[in-house]
Amino acid sequence: MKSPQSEMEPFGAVVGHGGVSQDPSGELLAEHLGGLSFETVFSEYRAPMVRLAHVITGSNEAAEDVVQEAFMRLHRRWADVENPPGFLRTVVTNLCRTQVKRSRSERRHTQRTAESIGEPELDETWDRVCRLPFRQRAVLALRYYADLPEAEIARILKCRIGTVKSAHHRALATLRQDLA
Amino acid sequence: MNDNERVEERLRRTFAQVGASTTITSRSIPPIGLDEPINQHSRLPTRRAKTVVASLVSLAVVVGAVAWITHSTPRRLNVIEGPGPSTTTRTASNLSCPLSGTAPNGETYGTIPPGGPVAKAPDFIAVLANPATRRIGGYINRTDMSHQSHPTVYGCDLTTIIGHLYPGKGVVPVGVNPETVPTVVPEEVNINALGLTVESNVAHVDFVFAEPGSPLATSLHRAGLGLGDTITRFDGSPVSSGTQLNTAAARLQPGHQVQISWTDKAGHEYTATIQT
Repeated sequence: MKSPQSEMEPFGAVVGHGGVSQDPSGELLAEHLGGLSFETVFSEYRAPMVRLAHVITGSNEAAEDVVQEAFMRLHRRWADVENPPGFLRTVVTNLCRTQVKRSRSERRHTQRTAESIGEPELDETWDRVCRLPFRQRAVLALRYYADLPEAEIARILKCRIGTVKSAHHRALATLRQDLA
Repeated sequence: MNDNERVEERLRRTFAQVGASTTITSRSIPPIGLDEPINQHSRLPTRRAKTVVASLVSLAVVVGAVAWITHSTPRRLNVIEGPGPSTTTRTASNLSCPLSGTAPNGETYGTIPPGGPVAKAPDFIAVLANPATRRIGGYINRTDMSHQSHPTVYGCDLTTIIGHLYPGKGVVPVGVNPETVPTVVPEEVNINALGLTVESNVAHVDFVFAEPGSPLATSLHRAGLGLGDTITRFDGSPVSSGTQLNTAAARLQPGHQVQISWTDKAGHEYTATIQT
């Protein structure tokens, strides 16, 4: 099945210079970005990162803040970072973790339902996804939205591949049950 | 399509929809809170420098590991004929100290004359042997020889000596006439120059020297006996210590034929008849 994402703005893809190719590891991208400026990276990758953060946190507003913070960190370490998209992905995901936990502590997620995305079936799915623990949500988002391999997801989440697999398995099991 | 595939398909559609519905507000560049100007040109050189540093560190690690392994692992040495290394990093004038004295075991050792092949060796440890007993008395660090008027003489055992055998450092026995003994390095050890050094198969480590270049040393070398091998039988008698071997070797007369058995590090047994 073709991913809907591939028809949209690619996440983690080499953009510009007349071509789009998937590059989950970011290696080609790092090479491609070798001579680019921070501004270029900012303009090319801010939107995909906000979308990713939105998918993980469930909040458009929080996603903007998370990504802004991530770019500030990237800027501070600009000279040292070899793979800016990979760096951003990792920072964004981990900032989302903080964001999600903060939301949980404020019990926001229990007092309001997830934002409506217009289609009942997808609204229901989205609502269930937003109730999952952070790691499971992040694994699902990185896998089904960012199309990243398990190894890369494990690196981003700083856990073992086995942990990613089990989180993935548990998340699917929960959703299968909830959406049955 | 099974349940899992249905859920996965819904997840893809849901995430795609959420991503597409994301509102991207306009934000300033550079991001808020930056107080330093961005140096666009610092990126590439820094990355190159980092790569260079990483390469150097990797190289250092590899060299260190090789040196450590070489330094710490006793090994059988290749034997070749010929003089020692041709590289000379010090001259005779650097060796101003008197290289004679008394070893820790109370025996007197000889002098290394400046300017000779021993003195010119790039970096070596002098293994001191009393000419009369052919026993090792100690060793001196090359740096000590160059910089100290009274170099420290260390006691030695075979482990210590082998532990110091690595490329760039050689071993030279100081016997009757050091000038006739080429300096050796591990990859180019001339067993005839070293004499024969044998580790016993008991805790006590001892040595037996055959006269450098003597028929005994040559025979042992030709028989295949190498440094680190353990002599188990010598001249018909079992050998259980280096001292016993020393005693047996000292009794040998030139021209005598003797049967010798030994095992190498792999545990293979060998027997040969040699001419002393």
